[in-house]
Amino acid sequence: MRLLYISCLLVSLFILIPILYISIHIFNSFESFIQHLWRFNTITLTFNTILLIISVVTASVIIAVPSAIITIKSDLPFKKLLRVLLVMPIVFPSYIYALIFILAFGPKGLGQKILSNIGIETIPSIYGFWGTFLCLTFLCFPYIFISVSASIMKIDSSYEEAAKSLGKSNLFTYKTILLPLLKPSIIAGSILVGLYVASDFGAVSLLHFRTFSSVIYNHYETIQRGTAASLSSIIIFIGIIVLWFYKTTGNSETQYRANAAVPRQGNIILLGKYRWPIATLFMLFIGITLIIPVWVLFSWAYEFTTNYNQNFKIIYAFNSIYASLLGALAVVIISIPITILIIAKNNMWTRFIEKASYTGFVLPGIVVALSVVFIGINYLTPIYQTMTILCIGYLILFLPVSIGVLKPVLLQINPKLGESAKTLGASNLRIWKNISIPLMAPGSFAAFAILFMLIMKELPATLILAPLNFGTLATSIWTHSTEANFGDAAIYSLILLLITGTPMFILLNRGVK
Amino acid sequence: MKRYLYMFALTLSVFALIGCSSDPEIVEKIVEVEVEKIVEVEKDPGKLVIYSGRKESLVGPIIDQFADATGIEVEVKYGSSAPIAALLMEEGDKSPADIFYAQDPGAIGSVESMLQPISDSILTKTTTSDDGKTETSALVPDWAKSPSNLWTGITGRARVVVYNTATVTEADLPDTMTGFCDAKWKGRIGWAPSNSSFQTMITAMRAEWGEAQTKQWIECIRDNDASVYPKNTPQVEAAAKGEIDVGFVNHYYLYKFVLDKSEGDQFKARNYHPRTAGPGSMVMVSAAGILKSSENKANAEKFLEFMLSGVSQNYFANSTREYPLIDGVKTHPLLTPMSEINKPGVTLAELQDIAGSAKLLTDAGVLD
Repeated sequence: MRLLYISCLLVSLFILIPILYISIHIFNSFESFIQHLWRFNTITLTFNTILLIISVVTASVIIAVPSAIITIKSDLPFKKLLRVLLVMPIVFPSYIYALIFILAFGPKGLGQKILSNIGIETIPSIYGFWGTFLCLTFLCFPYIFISVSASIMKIDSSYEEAAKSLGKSNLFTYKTILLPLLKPSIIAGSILVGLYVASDFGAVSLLHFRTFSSVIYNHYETIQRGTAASLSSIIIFIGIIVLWFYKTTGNSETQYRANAAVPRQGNIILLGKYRWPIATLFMLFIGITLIIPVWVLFSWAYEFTTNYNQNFKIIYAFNSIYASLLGALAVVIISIPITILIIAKNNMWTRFIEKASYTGFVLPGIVVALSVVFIGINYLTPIYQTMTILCIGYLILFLPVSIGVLKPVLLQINPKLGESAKTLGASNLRIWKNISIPLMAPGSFAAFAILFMLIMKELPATLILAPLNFGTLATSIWTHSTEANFGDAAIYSLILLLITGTPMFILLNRGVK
Repeated sequence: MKRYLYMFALTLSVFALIGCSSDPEIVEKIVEVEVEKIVEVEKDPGKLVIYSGRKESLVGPIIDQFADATGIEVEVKYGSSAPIAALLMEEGDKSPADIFYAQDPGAIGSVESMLQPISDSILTKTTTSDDGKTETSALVPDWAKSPSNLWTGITGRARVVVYNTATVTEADLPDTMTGFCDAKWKGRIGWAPSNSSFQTMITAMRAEWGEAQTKQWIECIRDNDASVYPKNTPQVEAAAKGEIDVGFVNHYYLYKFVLDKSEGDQFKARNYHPRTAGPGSMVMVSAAGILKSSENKANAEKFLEFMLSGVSQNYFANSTREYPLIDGVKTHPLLTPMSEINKPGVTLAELQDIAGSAKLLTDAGVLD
């Protein structure tokens, strides 16, 4: 238990780094901070951000929940493949996805060319709110899809069977039994989507929609880093609103089962005559969110092969894998004791850790990275610009994701199991080996797979905190796309998709019949 | 110290132009020329840490050549110029960096207090005339470096107006940037207020015209319904596609499409340097300087020397199509020669107050 406390204390210190850093800058550039706070711009952009969050989250829930239920519980054809294809957009870095989105659906783009063949000459502009909304929804709904899927697979079918034996309809069963049970996972996913939307800069800037993150980036771009850092407190404020909203919608942490056995899966829903129409609908949707973007990448990559550039560095793929493996492993290992503590001890401190950990995820990556530089160069000099400090950066950025995945899984582990084992004379070590670790393993793997994917595509912190000479796939995609070397950018992107696709496939199809 | 001889071969792409001026199609012929150079390498050449605000795809090959030629262990951190400047400020005098190589004078100017003057020997050249007299003259022209030699320009980057060749001819374009305030440009302009090169042009406007007139210009372009782009490349593409008719950008993005992607005349956009001298026809630089806290000063100076040598100036002229800053290196044939650009009188050292320009843009509501 003492080890648990020490590791948690250390992590709380890490979580506090960005908050401390921002506070120092608010203090140092207080006047400029106040000046900006009361500008009309601040208010409209905060409003824009919140509007975008609400829209993207709502649309994501509407897309993710039914599609998760159908692709797990029905007799939909190719459902294993469809699940992976549905989620794949999540592995695209947002700036490259937006770039492709504009190319495909923007003015004089691919979409318009196709439409002009059937006589439609003008399509609504992709720039502005609607384009940004669509692009971010496609990128973000997988967060909710993944979290809801995990939860569906754990729901014991006895509830549904009870409802059905009482003569209730399928629809009734889903509305009154399944949805309330899924609520915690919907909320967990929605929080991540909401906070991600607040932090995103790549997609919103390319699609010409102004949210508050653009204020922060513009201040960095115009070398006003003090103001930039202090103004990022507004983003934290927006994050607090998001968390508060979901707290009031009631985050009940129901435990679904009393025993430890694998939950029984319910009957497969028979879609009957709707089976193929629904499958077609899914394929059309995937066509837009994934196939067209990948097709664009391939057409760029083709250009690359015809215009071969000898600067291609395969080592960057290995660097990416190395950093992602190391980072994901570190974050998962560190978040397990914290999650255990959050579950075991519900006090002010653990509640604070859980909530405060979200600051890393809601802040633009550059702010988190520079705050780690500030601590690193001054107090952790020996590990500065090493993999260790990079992993600390990843920990601050992605801890809430890891806790979010682990918590529902750990909540389901019945503490009575350990207690019973103890009364039967089992040693602590044996309890861990035979009960705790096997029960935690699937959740830990899920957390690991998601973190691996997030770190693979992470850009700002990797650029700033990585060791010297350490290029990755994400940094190369960014470099080449900003310099309009789309062929190179596409090659690196396709490698990224390939590498992250594998763990996602395993993760998504565990337990799907 | 024992010295080794190190040889390296350098392949230079030399562009020879064939074709006549009346024919819009320019035929290019690439002649490969092998150049052999002998460089002395010390036994333990040491190391050098470069923070580069310029992308790896642009400067990586020439930095690699420097490392190969000198044997120095070069370590690089790549990023965007402004965030790298913020990183340097955060690191302060504990920074591991020896060199900051920035995309624009604004970014390097913002960390000027962390830089040390560059030795005169690097920024001047010595020529021996026929009668045996030696003469020293400036290697880098005065306009392209800091007055106190804290940083030096490495390459020249011109501001231009990129225009759609299907809807606009060069004759239609106004003599100065103020011409775009005319109502006939309404809805046809693209700009990138958050782009640092654009902001540097605004800083030049403030230096040339004063605050009031610059503010007026920003407002009239805004009121002409200029489309906002996040940066230069999408503007150049938009101009070629006819999404906009004109855009305010840097000169070299065009050649990404015309040359690298071999789109040639299929790419319906070209550059225009405003005829009358003014902020619209200014030439900026990418610039580098040595950190005061550098522990590898000798290597840092070697690096600057190399960047200002014929080898790397030729590299930039031909692969990034920037303007070479030293005499004797040919500008890429597709570019308007620097001597034909009617440059304004502002010096780059006057262009460091980016924050002031950001404020004007923010007040006009075009920057967040």
